[in-house]
Amino acid sequence: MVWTEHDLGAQVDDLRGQFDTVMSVSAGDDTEDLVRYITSQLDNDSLDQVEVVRDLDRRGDLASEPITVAALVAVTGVTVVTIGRIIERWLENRRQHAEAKMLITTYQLSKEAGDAYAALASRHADVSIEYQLADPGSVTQL
Amino acid sequence: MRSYVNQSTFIMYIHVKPYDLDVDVAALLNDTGDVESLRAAWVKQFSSRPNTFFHEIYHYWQGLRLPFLYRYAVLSHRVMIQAYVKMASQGKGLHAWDVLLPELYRLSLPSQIWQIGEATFALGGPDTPAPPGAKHHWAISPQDLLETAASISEFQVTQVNPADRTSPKAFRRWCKRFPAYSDGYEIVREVLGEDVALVCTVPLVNGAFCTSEPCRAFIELLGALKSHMDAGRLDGFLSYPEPRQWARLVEDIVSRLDYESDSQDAKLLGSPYHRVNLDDWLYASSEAGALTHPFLTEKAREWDERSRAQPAYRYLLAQPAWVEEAAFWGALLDLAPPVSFVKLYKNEASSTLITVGDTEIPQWQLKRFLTMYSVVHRASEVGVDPANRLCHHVACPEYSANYCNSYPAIPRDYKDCGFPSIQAELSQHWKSSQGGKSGMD
Repeated sequence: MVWTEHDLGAQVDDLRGQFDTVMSVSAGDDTEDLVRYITSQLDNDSLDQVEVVRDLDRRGDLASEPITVAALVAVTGVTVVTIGRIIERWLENRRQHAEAKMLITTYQLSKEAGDAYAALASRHADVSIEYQLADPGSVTQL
Repeated sequence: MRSYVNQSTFIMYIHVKPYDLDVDVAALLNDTGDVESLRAAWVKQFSSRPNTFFHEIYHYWQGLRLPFLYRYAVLSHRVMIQAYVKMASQGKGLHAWDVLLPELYRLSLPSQIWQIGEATFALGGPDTPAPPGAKHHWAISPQDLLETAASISEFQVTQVNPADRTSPKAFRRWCKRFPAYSDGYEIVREVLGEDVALVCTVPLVNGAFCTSEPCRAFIELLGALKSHMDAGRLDGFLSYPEPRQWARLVEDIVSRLDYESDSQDAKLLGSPYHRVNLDDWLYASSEAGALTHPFLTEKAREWDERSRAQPAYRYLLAQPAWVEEAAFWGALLDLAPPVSFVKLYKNEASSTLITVGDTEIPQWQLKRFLTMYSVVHRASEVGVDPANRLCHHVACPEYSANYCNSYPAIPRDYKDCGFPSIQAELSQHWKSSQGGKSGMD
């Protein structure tokens, strides 16, 4: 099943009520590699504080290992800054093998996370960050 | 890395991008003269990645052991051959070949499920309106159930700490770290609770595939299990630690379901609800001869024989993490897909395709099977993954039409490709024989 925008929006709304930060990460064919890297670098206790929802590309007529085309990562507390550092390490490792273009769409972002991710984007030209806040009044200007 | 098993042919396809290649494989890939070493290096790499390795082999095992799926594969193989013969006899140019095969969508046909009472459910098609009083609603297909079983089994088999196999918390963490299909598990979890769901979902799925309607049977089995649990009839059973005899319990419930027919048939769509018996299908025949599948039957019979002598093989598909190592590794080594195609990418424009497996089907016959499968897949738009092509010759006049999608012998120069001549030969053969029998089916 591939989410529709409606499905994704419902997931985002659900997560926004429970976490400080909600963002979608996408790195083309490398998205799953990125998500696995992030989750493998977090210890169990940190991982328990994070929700990961994958947007799985799925062929109904083929028995395939799930393919991740995007993932929602919802975080509470300072773990979001840790994840920013992990993403940066992944980008640096990846650059040795291939170009790594990444889109991070934020739906809800704490101030400290906003600063960290803005710095990340400024250091990596191939990282794009979109800010999509459902409530315009709560937009964090970066 | 992208991998999948085609559930009509039960051939495994694996696409490995440059950054996923181990150093040894990458080095050998640049020295294309030594295919045997390349194949050995790839097998070593693949074996060292237990998640993908196990997930795909488990799908193949489902084809060997689940009566509905084995039956589906045998009948869909026959449907594909018949479709090829029919299209060939029409005498059209290849790029005009087109066929509608609704039977081959059977696994992805979704059902809607509503929970009405504690242990009462309603089942409907995609357009069925919700019944009054429905509490929960889910949509699920046979494919969803197969994927759920593969993901849970993969989780349980890859846990280092045995206690984690039954831990919902460990499963939640695992689902964050690895992509998993869990639609079927979520239904069971909501109805029975997460502790029981994690250990009974796979046996429930396997039981559901002992019938002609897996989604219906799944929900009937779930309802029966819920009733037994609520009435306290499973208290003794549940007081034991894992591995409990889930497969035997589910088998007993399967035998008590209300079926619409006592006899089995050979229809992929429109069968009355009935129990499917694997033993009958493993040795089935029709007026045209034995009903077999080129890549399943031999190994399915082998598994069946082993299960008579070694009890572990009876429970291997339901509880693979708990069976004795000898049986587990025996199945992994001996009962793996007989044909896998592995596309190793040097870069986006250049790749090498290797064949892995132990099929005894001669190369010439394998190429003919795959030519026919390719054409039918493309003509019916079922079983083709357009994003992952075996061939990289974009300049070839056959490339864009993609009727050659599963043809495995990729030459250095597309002008040397054998697909057009084999297709012409087969097409002419079937056209002139007007659907007569050959050794192919």
